[in-house]
Amino acid sequence: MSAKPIQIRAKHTKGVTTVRALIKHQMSNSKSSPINKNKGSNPHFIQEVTCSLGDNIILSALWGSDIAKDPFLAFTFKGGNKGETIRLSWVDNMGKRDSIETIVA
Amino acid sequence: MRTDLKRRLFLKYLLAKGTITTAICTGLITPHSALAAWPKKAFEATTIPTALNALLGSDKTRTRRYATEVKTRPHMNNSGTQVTVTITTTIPEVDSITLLATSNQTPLVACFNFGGRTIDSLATRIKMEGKGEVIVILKSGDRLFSEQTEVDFSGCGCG
Repeated sequence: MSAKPIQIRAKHTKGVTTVRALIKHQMSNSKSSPINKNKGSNPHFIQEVTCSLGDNIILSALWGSDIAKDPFLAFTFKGGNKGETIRLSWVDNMGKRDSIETIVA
Repeated sequence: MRTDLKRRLFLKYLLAKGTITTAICTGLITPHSALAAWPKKAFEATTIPTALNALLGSDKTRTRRYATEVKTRPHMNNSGTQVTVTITTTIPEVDSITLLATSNQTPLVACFNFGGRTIDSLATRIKMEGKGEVIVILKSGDRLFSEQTEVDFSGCGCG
C-alpha cells in the first residue's frame, strides 16, 4: 500500500467522467462487532466523503464503519470536461479530515 | 424484499418505533449541512426498515427489472472484510444510493447522495459479518428502488 493518504484519478471519455479514489484509513468497527480486527480500540471511521467538480458538489457520501479498511470509491457521471478540478475531502468520527485535488484527464 | 421477511421486519420495526421519536430525513439536508447531521440513528439501527425510515423517511421499496445491476465480489481471503460492490443503473435522476448488508449487526453501510448529476455507476468495498445479502436502494424523486444480491464466501480463497 502506498504511503499517500489519498490517491485519486479522474478520467473523461466520451461524455462520461470516471473518478476513482483510494483513501488510507483504518475504518475500525465498534468493539462488539465480530469483524472488528482491531479489538480494544474505539470505532474510528470516515463518516462523510464529499467530492466536487469545480464549485459543485457531485457526491456527498455518508459512511458507517462497515466500509472496508482503506476505502475504495469509484463512480462515473455524465458530463465533466478535461482540465476541470475534482476535489475530494473526508471527515471521520474523531474530527480528522483530509482532502485532495486532481485535474480531470 | 420478500414478503415474509418484510412482515417480520415490520413487526420488529413496530417494537422499535417507540424508542425512535424522530426520523432524520437526509434527503432534505443539503450537502453543506450534512456534516453536522451524520444520521447516527440510521447507522446504529439494527433492522433494515428502521435504518431506512431513519435515513430516507420510508421503507417502501419497489423493484424495476433490468434497470439496476449489482455485482459483488468478495476478496480472496474468504472472510468478508473486503467485499467489492459495483452498482450500475439506467434509472435516471438518481438522488441517492444506499447500501445495506443483511448479515451485519447494523445493516446500514453507506449512503451516497448525488448533486443532480446523472450517475451511471458506483463501486466501493464493504465489510460483511457473514454470508448474506447486499441490498441497494436507489432513490429517485419520491420513489425507492431496491435491488439485492447474495454474497457467499465459500467459493473463494483456500479457507
